[in-house]
Amino acid sequence: MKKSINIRAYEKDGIVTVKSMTRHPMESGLRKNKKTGKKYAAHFIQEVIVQSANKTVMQAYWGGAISRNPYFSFRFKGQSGNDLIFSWTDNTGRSASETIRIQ
Amino acid sequence: MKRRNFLKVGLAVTLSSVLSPGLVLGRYPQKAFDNKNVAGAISALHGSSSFPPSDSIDIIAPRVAKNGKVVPIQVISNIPNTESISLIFESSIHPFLASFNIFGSEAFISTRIKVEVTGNLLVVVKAGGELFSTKQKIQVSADNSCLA
Repeated sequence: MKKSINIRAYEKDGIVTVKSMTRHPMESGLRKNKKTGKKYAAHFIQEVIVQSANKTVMQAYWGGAISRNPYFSFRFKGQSGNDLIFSWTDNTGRSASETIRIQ
Repeated sequence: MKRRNFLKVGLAVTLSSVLSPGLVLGRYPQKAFDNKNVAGAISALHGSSSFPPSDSIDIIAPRVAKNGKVVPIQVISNIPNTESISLIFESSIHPFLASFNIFGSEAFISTRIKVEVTGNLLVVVKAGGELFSTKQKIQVSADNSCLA
């Protein structure tokens, strides 16, 4: 199975930039099937938590209005060589996480 | 006696892990996401609906979105002690898009959002317990509906 989270993180002058791309349908629950007129069931990531060196560095709450296969980038004060754990939980209770080393 | 202590400690640990959210810092702000009113959504999350405009928040977003399903946006808050960044799209049925809790000094986020109809992207920043905001209009063409 392909990895659901693609993530990179690099440090420059004490600031770590994280870039991530997650494979997820991000179905808002409002979109309708044109043929049947029925709404597609909501299926989207609700919470993203990123931790580094046993500290939470980012916590995000998302709704269904974030685009499919969400791209997410942010910065924090950190060090190269430290670990970075990126994890998400969606509205159906499914979750995934990925651990990398900061470059 | 030892066994009894062990049971007590075990029970306490189990209870505390069940009752307290532990690593999870807050709960999913369902009320903010469900609210159909901009001020209502903000007060549901932050407990205040006063968010004066500020020049210290930068939004980098296209003025005209070619594809409403994928609109890249960046937000940089230059306000010291920024705690959270919330994204709200004023003309959406469910205006509240997302909220980001910031830990530390770097208040920069970049993501992609769905924009159904032309409207204002409102960014609300919480810093030092106070709310600040900035807006930018994003235009989408009529045949770009995300709901269709």
